Amino acid sequence: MTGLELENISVWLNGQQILHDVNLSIKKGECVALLGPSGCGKTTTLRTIAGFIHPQSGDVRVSGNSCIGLPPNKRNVGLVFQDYALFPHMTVAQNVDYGLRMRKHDRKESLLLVKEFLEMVQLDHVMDRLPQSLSGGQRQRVALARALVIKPDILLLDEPLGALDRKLRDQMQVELKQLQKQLGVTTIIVTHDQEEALSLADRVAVMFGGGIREIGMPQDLYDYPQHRDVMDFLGGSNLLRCNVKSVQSNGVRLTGPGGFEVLIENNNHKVGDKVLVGIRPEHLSIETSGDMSAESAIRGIVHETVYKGTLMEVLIKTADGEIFRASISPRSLDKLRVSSGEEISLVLEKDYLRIFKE
Amino acid sequence: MQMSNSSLPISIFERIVSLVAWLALFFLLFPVVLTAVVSLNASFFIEFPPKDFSFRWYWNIANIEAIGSATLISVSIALAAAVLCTALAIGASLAITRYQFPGKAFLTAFLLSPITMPMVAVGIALIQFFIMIGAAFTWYSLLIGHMVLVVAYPIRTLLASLTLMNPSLEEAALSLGATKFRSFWTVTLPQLKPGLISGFLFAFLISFDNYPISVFLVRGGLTTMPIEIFNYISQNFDPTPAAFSTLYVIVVTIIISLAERRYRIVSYSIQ
Repeated sequence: MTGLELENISVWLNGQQILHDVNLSIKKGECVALLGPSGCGKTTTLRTIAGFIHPQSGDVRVSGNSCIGLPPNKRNVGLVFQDYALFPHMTVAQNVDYGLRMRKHDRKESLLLVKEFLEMVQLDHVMDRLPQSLSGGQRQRVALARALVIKPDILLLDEPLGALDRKLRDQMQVELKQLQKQLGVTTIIVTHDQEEALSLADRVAVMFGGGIREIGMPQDLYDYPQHRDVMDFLGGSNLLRCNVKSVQSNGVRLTGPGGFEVLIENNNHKVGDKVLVGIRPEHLSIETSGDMSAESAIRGIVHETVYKGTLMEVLIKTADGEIFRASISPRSLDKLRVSSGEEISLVLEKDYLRIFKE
Repeated sequence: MQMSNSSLPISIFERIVSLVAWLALFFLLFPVVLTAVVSLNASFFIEFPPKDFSFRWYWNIANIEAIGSATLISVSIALAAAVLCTALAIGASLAITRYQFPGKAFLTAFLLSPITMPMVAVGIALIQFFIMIGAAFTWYSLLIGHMVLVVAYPIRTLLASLTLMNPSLEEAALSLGATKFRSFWTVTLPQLKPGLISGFLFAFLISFDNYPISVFLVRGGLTTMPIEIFNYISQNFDPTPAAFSTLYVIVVTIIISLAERRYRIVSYSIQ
């Protein structure tokens, strides 16, 4: 059963088209992340679902019912703002109660509901405090309880973890996911942080230039992106400009920079075609010794090494001046004992090669 | 020793700043203190320093001609002008901060202009207008004159409040099911409280002791407190007006400090 459908949504703001025919279908209880750089239209999509923006064309359906033309207060959508937007003049309990009061919910029952939801986010002990006296993580939870207590059809989260520090983020990530699954509420998360999207959502929709470029389950999307900008946005990539050297019965042979040569199973190309081969930095390994002629390897010299905590980034420069990035563990780099200027070869894991049209 | 050498220029600078601050404070407070001291002078004439002290001039306040009715008119005008102007200012400041429309910058400058216009000019313009429409020298024309004078103050303070307010608060209220009206009433208005209160107080106080505009708009039985005080001064030399002024300063100080303690209005107006 579908929880939310967006059909051919187009939005113009101040004479500029912000959304181009956005289509999205979300199952009831599913959690989808809209991921993209700033200006890609993800926030506009969120605001269109919430009812703050009315699209010039297209349809928004919640549980099959169109809500085009309905104002935000008639939509039963729970919204958690990036800055939480807690009412500063109301206590935590009054904040959570606000939606119930506006719905003229039975007072006695409301009190129990407020308490229940504050317990759920472990904040029943600060019920009578004002939002200013809470920490960032606590405010986030109050905002969540306030949005959830009205039993929304759709929960919308705008950069939910953006304002929290690293440790709190990791903790809230787990809590948020548990809460979402426990309540089974259809959820959309808007974020520019790929880690947040990949870890929280059942499916991730990557947006560019006002449209959804690609949507899929986090791991599929990460490992097998269909578009090179999606691949690059999700975790970075190396792109090799290659030529089709020959077409064989078992695939095509590509040649690229640094003496790169590989046979891939693909028969959509003919000799002389130019293609882009993408590979993630973590799917490259470094070899120093003898076997410099291995297939799908790039030869070059170590340009620089950058320490990144759990991983080490090694920049390799080919003879024609192109730079490639490899992410490897600091331990294996120590074993290799490579230093700047040293000649090595980069071996590309063939299974992770992605072929894009130029 | 090197330490004190390097910090020497800063300390001279700090001394100059604090000297200037004390001078400014003295300059502002001296007339008030002088008035208070003079009001306690026992002698029949204003003299400084006083030889004997007494509260007799405080009892003489009642003898200022029409001071009771004039103060009542001043209070009623100031109250009505402050209430109406604050209400109008809510609409005006919302329009200015929330909507885009042609002539917006001009409208804003126009609404705030009474602060910068010479009051005598405003007074002359008003009385000519009221005579023209045949409504001069009435309580209502006096009220409208004072509204022209004070409307800029609540607009100013409310513009500050609205600019400081987080715009997603109203959207949060709407998404939680509030109608536009209820979100304004339950979320926006409480957020504007400091601006409303300081704007109201400014409007009230500026109307209450205005002389240059009132002087054109009053006649006969329609008279205000500052006009009568001024009339008294021009005919008498005793310290009764000083006694009245001292009382006035005390009352205003109490009101402002209460409002500041509760709503931080002074810090708000500075922003």
